[in-house]
Amino acid sequence: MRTETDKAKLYDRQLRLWQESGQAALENACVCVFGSSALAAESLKNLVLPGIGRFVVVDDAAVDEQDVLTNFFVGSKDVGRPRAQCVVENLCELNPAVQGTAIVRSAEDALSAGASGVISSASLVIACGLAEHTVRQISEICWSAHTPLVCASTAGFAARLRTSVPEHAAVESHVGLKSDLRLLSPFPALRDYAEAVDLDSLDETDAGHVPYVIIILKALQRWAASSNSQEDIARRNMPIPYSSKQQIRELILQAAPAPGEENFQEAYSHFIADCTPYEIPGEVSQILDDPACTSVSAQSDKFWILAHALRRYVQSVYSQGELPLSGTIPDMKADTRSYIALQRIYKQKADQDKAEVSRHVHETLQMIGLPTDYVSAGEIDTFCKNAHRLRLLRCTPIHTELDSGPTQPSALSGSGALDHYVLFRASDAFLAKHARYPGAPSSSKAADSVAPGGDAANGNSLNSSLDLDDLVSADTLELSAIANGMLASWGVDSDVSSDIAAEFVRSGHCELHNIASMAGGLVSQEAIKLITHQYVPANNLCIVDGASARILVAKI
Amino acid sequence: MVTAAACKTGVERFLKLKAPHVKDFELVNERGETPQDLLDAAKVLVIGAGGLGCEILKNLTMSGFKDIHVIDMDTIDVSNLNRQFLFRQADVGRPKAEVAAEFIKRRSPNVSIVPHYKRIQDMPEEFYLQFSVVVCGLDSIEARRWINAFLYGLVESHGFEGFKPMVDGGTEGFKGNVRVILPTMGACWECGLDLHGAKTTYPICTIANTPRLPEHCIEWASVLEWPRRFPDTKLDGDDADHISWLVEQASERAAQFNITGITYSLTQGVVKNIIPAIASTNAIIAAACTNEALKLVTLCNPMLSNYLQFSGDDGVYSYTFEYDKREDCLVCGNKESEVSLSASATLEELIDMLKEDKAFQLRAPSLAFGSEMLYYQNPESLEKLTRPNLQRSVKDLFASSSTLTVTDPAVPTSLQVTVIFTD
Repeated sequence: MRTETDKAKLYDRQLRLWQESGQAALENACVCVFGSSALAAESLKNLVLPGIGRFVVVDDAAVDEQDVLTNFFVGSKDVGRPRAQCVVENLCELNPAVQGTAIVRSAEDALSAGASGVISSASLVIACGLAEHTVRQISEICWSAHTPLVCASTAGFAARLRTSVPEHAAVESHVGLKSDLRLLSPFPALRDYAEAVDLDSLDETDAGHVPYVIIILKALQRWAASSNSQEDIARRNMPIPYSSKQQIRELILQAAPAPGEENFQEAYSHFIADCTPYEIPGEVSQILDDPACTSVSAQSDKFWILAHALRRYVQSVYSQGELPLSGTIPDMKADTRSYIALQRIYKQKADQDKAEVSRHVHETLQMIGLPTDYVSAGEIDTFCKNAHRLRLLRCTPIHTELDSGPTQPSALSGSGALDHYVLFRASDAFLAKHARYPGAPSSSKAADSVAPGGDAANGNSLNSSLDLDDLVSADTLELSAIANGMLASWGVDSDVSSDIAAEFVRSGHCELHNIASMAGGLVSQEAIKLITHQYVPANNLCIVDGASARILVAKI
Repeated sequence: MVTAAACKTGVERFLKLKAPHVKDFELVNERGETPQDLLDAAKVLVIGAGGLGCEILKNLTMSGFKDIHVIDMDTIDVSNLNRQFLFRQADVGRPKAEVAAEFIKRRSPNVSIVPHYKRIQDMPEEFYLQFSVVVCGLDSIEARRWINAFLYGLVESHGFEGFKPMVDGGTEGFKGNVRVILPTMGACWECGLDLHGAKTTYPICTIANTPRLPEHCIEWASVLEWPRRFPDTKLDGDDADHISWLVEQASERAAQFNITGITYSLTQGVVKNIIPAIASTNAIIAAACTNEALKLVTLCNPMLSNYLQFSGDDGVYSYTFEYDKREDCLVCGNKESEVSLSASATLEELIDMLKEDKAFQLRAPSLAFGSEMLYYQNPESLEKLTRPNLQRSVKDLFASSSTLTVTDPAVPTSLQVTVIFTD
């Protein structure tokens, strides 16, 4: 049994990214994976190693010799055995704390037995290399259950990933932000502290240890006092005219006791970035104006309840339209005492802001008839600290995309992903029509699942003498025609790239381990972000083009 | 005629099927070799058997490579097990290269995999000459600079026999990058040195006199206090007792200055310069590396030229581009460069400049002016002898526009640096 310190040591390198809270989310999660090829196994490897709670693998495929050569999680002694079972065994061996189960059924079978069970207990679903009609089914089930779904498949050097979830919120997005110092709208405690510093009376050493925040505030004060637009300056948060900015920067340098004094240099170089008027970041404004935020009920997600409270806070007189202070300040050249004192001032204001937000949270909870401890102090603290970098994602459902095409074909061509996207779609159509992938002879095991009516066990020997080069040529023509038809139906003028079409057919939709492993890395990364609600998931399509060593991203 | 039976795996399809749309791909080359022959004959050196190394070894094995060597000087630590999946709890303490090779061999008995529990700097030229391609999954800039410069030198001394393409991968949290380097042909690793951010360093005066952050207190304990209290014992970031002592000392100092936030984790992170690491990022980058290795050896698709950058923390972002060869590259360029500073600056200030400048990123430079020793870091006797020069003004040591010879453990060759006085 692992002790807490054992776990802390084992997971140290990942805890530095998502802390205990992220780890807990992973350990409470159950991931359901359809498919057991290298793509599926590699995706799971990167979830089992960091300690996902449970996983389920659904596949009725049996291990064959091709698998032994491309799938690291089956062995030569496993030929003939259910691949799902072998993969589960070898993955569980990586981390004894993880529970894995194999369901030796095809995806279609498992789903037809009723959606309850397989998907309903999953925190997240991963679908690897499935036929389009199965993907549609899974997408509809996951969408109505609000379960995030990541669909992926590979074709030789190409791979695609598609994330789909109705709504995903990340409070701890870890998005980098510039410092939140409020220099153009200093709160009273900050203003008073700056006022109490008499720069002129300090000797050279002490002057060299004044935090640059104070230096800037002093310079702004001096400029306001001498400027003609006194009224403007007295109003909070007004932009400073460009010419005045230069003047103030010069004043700062002149006030330095000696040229090159580091803290004055910091004030000079940080002035422009730190003295732009405060603005609530666009992503956060959108959240606060969202209908799910403006009207909340007892059924609302905690995120929306907190967002609603934050909205009320921002609209209150207290906040003057600004989000709660995060309370952290960057390091800056200063003596310890001044820096710590300044840090305290910001921290105290942050605490006051947080107390106000708490009040709004409690009022909101009361209003919707939930107990006041429904949202914990810790959750409010995290929300306030991250108020400037909240993120909300809404994806288009995959089943809609499959029926009506991508919502924004121009986004696809803009990102360079259009050719690969349409060729994957065209390959799916080809499979549905011919029960084999383009370039692959019929009854090839290349596809992880065959369209209805296809028979994977049918006479391999029938096609053993087929000239693949001929098949590839013929299929390339047909695949391109299907692709061009799709492009036309989406209102796209151009034809599909013949080189990329040739690559798709050359692959016969066979799995290349490197690409399966790369896509598996991306799938697991997205899964982790979706499960932990930390960092920002991709929204919503990734294409891997191993031939040109590019990863392309688009929102469709 | 290519039949389905001849293409059991995806790799075989890409090696045997016609591909007129791929520029350099030949079903039979001028020496009568097929891409399959090239793959069968390929001998790969994997440098590093850690987070990237384990993935690289798996990928090469699953891609049809049959002849692999792996070199790594480290032993297994429990904190490796969250991503270095060829190792188990029972392997802790054993050499990574050996355990990795054993695992691969058990799973794929037909693959030859030879481990080397060694430092790359300790292997002779003959060792490196046997390989067709080198794939690096290293964890330090210094090691990468070394192998890059070494492989460059190998072409200079052995011509075509010494030409070993190098694929280099690096990761940090959710970010990573891949480079393909063809030594003496185009940009080398050193040409892209400034693609790396410089490491966070804290000024000594802050650490000694005006700490503000918990990190400053930790550096005080590790850089200043430890050598004072234990002058004969090297600080070992992997020794829990050493770290605990540092936590105590740093906490006491922090309390004196009203600084909060010292933890065991932060302390260890600062001392060991721990970089967060997860399996998923390693998987992505390592796979991109081995994908390049496969293409390099078989030419079945164009190779990366020459840099792929990836980050997965905010959505997915990736950028593939070619960075240029630098004329003044310390390895493949004319190795001459220029710095300028005040004539009254001290030699120590010049040395600090060379250490901090992103273009050099030197660790502990030694300087000579012609035959005259200005300051030597090693051996101890020379260091003592030349130490007084550190405080002398540069104008007292040489004239403006003098060219100094600089050597440093970070760079295998010596550099010619011309120093210009600004006043």
